[in-house]
Amino acid sequence: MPRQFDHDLNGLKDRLLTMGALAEQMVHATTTTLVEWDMSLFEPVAEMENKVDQMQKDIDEETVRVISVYTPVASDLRFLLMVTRMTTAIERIGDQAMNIGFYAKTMLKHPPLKPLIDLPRMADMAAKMLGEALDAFTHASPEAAVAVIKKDDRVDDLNDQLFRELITYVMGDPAVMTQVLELVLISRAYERIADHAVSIAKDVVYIVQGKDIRHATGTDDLTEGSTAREGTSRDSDKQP
Amino acid sequence: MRSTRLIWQILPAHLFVILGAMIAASWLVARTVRSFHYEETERKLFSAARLVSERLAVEADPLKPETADAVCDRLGKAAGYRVTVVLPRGEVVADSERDPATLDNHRDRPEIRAALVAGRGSSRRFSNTLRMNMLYVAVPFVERDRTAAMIRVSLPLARVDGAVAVLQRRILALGLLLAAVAVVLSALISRRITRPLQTARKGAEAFAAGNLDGRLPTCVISEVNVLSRTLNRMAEQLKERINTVTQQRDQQQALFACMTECVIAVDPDRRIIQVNKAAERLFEVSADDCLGRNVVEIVRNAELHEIVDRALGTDELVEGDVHLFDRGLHLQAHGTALRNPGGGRIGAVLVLNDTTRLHRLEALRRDFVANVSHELKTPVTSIRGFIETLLDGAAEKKSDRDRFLGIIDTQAARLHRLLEDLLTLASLENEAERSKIDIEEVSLRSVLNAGVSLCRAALDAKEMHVEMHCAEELKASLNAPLIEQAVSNLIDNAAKYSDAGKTIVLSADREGKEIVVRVRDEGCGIEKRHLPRLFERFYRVDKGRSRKLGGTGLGLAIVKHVATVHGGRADVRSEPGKGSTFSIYLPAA
Repeated sequence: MPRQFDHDLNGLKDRLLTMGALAEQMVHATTTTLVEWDMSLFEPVAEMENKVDQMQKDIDEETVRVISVYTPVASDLRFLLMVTRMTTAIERIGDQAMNIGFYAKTMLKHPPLKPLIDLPRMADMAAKMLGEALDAFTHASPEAAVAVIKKDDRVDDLNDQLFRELITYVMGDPAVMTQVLELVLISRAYERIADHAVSIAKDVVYIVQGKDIRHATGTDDLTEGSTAREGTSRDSDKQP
Repeated sequence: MRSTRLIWQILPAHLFVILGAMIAASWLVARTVRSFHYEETERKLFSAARLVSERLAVEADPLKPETADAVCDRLGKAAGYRVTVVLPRGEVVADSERDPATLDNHRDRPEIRAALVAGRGSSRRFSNTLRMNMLYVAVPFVERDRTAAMIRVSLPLARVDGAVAVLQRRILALGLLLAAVAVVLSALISRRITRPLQTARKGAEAFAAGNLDGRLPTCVISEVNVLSRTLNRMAEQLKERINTVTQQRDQQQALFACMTECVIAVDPDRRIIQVNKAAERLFEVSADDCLGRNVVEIVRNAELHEIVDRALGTDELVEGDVHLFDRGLHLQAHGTALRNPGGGRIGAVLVLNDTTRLHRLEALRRDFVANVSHELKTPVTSIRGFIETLLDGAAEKKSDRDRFLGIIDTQAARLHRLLEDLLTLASLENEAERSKIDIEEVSLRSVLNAGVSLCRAALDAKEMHVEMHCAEELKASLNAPLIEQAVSNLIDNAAKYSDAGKTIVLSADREGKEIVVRVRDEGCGIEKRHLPRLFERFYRVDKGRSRKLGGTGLGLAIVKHVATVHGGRADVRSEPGKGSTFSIYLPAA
């Protein structure tokens, strides 16, 4: 393959990472907005969301161009296909960040119902998972990606725990219903962000090892991934 | 141009000259010798022909074939020539070597024709009869004033040609010999010339390989000498310049490495060209790892990338703030275009300044002003509100009046406490600056007791008990009132955040070169993320609760400052739900 091809692949990788950096910043901004209880911190996010949307379109277009010009095979093709999947995931993370801002807008009008403890913890965890998934992509490391996937359970647990706790508040005083609902929705959004991070991590494993670990159950399936064959085809009917 | 060895430049010319000369000489010699020979032979043949003619004249019937043939045979044999008698019409009458009957008409032979016209003729040509090159001469045989016949005498030229050929061969052989000598000479000369050149080449190669200390030797050829001297001078200058450049580079490298600011240079594709030590430390990478990689692979931060892109896109100096939130760092970035010596744009340079501390101080200052205003405003608002209510007539009713005055008293007391604390802090800071507090050696136990008694009321209210562990004889150099206040602040805090009936442990020990005063409670504990900021002014873990409990938000700040003015420090260890331990470390006397 010509050197131009490598150059184009690297360019795509860098652009995807730049897009990821924006998404990370958005997630971080939502967290500080909540922790500081200050809606003004959310202001830059809308602009970033526009940028992320634009980058998704640009990167997907470039991917299509690269595929049609070079007709790549094996790991290069996997890389290009996964790039479009990852842009989707990152764009959705951006959407979730926007959602959090939307829920927070109503919630922040009132004083906090309770000190936020589990929510920031969840937010940090989701942000960290996103960061680690992008790191795994940077270094093409399936081990790091698998580590991200394994963390997902803890976010889910926190989400459940928060949900149960909030239910008790509502039972104590139905007047806090709206605020509790916002909190539940926000925690759900962070949980979704963690899920998208997991999907990015799975894409990384597929790029590097050619093994499709989507819909894999249990951690055994994941650890065994390191022995996967290169270039294995996967069942294409499992598109989500 | 194809390059060849020197000998191939010299030798062909030498060979060409020598061989050319030899060939020319041999050709010239052969021509001269041959023509001389021919003339001589021709002369001899004419003489012979005349003699034959005289001899025939004495015969009675000279042209009778038998007679003529006999004479021709005899004379031909004697002289070694071929003698032929031809009648003017061309018939051959006699021939010394052939039977005249077999010979054809000789009238058209050039020598015969010339002799008929001019009285003598000669010709050199190939004889079909004898099948060799021959020289013919012919003279007329005059009988009674009339040309009766032609006497022709001929001789093969083989002998003459043979002699010339031998001569030519000798000359050629000599030529070859000389050519061989020329080859040897050429080789010797070229060797003479090339040997110093070889030496010069080796020296130049050493220069090229970087060894600039060697010098080329002088030699006998002046042209080569000039070359050697020039090369030597070049090496000297090169060395000097390399030294200068190396020195400059080393200085710049040292400067670059020592800078506390991070410096990152990137190419137009945002790939890293160079980083300095500070950048390696900040981003926890080694230079080898990140060279050639995109900035985004090393630091994934949208703000930083935006600055990089801006720096790459403009000629102006760009700047911006970068918040590395995953590391809790604030950086100030300056970027500018990077140009090569020709002025072409080859990327951008970023200089990053770690402003985390400044950022924190700035936030502290902002918070402090906001907090002080807020803290002062709350009681003042409350006092003014109740005074207005009293003025509006509430003073008429004694029970209301007393209640309102009570509230005003509480708020005024709180205001007073706040101002006291602020003043204490301010004076502590001043004293810390001038390092001027009165220190005397006192028994630590009495100081601790005094501290506990200061908050006796709070302890009694919650039925709490202070357990004291302090050796009677432990003495420390300190300012008693300040330490009393610090200890009472800590005990007050411990009482506020613990449930009623719990025990507070107050201990003092000597640990190495320090005396440690510890206050341990069994309260609610503090989350880890609050700990680093706990000693800041007005920092509250739980804003609502702290104010409700009557704190000013300055207690721990005072504790920290008290420890600082004594040359010590304060710290805290805590576990949520289990309790906290605050420690004051004082230097032991």
